[in-house]
Amino acid sequence: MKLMKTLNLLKNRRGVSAVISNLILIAAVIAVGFVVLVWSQTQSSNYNNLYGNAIKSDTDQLRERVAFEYIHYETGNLTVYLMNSGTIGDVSIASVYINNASYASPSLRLLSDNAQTSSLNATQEGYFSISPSPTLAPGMNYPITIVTGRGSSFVATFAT
Amino acid sequence: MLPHLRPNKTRRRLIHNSKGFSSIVGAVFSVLIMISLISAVFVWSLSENTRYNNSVRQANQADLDRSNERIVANVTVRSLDGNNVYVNGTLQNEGPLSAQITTLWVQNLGQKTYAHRDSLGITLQSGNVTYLSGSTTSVSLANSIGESFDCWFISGRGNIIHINPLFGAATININYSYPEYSTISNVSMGIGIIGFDFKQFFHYDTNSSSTPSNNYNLGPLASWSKTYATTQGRYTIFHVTLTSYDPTAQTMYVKLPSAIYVIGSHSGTVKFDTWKLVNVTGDATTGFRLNPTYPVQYILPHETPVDVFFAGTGLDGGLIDSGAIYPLNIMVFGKLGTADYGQNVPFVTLYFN
Repeated sequence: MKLMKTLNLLKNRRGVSAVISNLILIAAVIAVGFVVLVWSQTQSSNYNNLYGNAIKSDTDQLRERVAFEYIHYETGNLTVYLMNSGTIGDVSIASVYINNASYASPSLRLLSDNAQTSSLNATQEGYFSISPSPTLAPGMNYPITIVTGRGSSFVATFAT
Repeated sequence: MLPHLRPNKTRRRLIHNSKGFSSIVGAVFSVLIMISLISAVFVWSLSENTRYNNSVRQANQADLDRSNERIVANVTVRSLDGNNVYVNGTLQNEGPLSAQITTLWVQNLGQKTYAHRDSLGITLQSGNVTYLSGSTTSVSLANSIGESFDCWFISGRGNIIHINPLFGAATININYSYPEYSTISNVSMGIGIIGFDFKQFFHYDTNSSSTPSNNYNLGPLASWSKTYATTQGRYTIFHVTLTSYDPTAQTMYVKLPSAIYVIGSHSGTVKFDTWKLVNVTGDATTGFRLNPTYPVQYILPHETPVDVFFAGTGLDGGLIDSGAIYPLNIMVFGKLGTADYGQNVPFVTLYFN
């Protein structure tokens, strides 16, 4: 008896289209919902990354300090001795400005063993040499600005 | 049906009507997801802002610490052999924070050459003084004999510490150094290689003309007399601070019969009275003790101020006229390294009551 009822239900096609359309509608809504969810998560993750990187960059820049230990100019050659006196390592010299002329990425060496290095760790001392062009006039004071890889700038004055 | 029962029926019908219920549940879920996402981003943004504020505060504190750092360098710069330059003297931390000295720079002003010594590793607590002696703070600088020098130290916070300006312009070759608390007149200069600090001249006057017994309590230095007057005939102990500025940086040994002496007169006759080197133990803060019969020898390491004591009645050469001033001199006798050494240092004037 029950079997007969079930067979009758299956043979009865009235209302099937409404069920199928509902199923399709639900599937579409779920799919779109997931897409929206994934998209919003991706967007918020991107925003997190961008904002986090910006904050990290700012804080790293804040912690950068460079001290000028000695600046020596002789026979057209300028040697600048520096110390990373900040609380963050990996301080590189991106560019140097002297007398309105810029010098990109001077070769940095460690003060302790003259080994070439790309950056200075905290409390490390180093130096670089450049040949200013045109040459600097003797007996004058010149400002020198160094810009680090993180974008911090430090200024000192030296006498020729 | 009574009118007051109608709302209950309507409510029941609404509850049993499941049409549109899934939409409400979906909307609630959507709102919950949105709230959780926004909350996560908001909380994370707050934590990032906190991190940034902490960094700003730390950077400000570091700058403040750096500006508060105050190290006074009372040093000499000399070349002894033409190839090495020695920076000797004292470094005093007058700031509120401990400081580290990392690097020494020396510049030969005449030759325009320079040299450095890094990894000094000198740590100075607040108020502490460190003595730089010997070759620990020397640099190699060729052809430097007879030249003028400048020097400066670099602290761990990136400060540059120049020679104390009380010593004169940096371009002057300083051939002498000063105790850390001195002014220029405190050290008698140009007289051999002994420095005398006027600020550390004290005397202790007993009430008796007899020699006290050993372990006689002299009390802390602050209780001693700082005047330039004493009463002749009484057993008196003189405290002087001597510093050896021997250019070869050898240790000096001051022995008997080193003495303070005064040449006076009485009724037209010249009198020569002395206060001999004496053994005193203890320290200036907790108190000194006199040991007149103990053996005595004072060791003066290079450029290190040392307390030296002389004692006596000043009557061994006879009574001198009172109510007059007399020049006092120190006869230093002993060894410089292994070689004999002797020097006469005139220092203060004393009024004899």
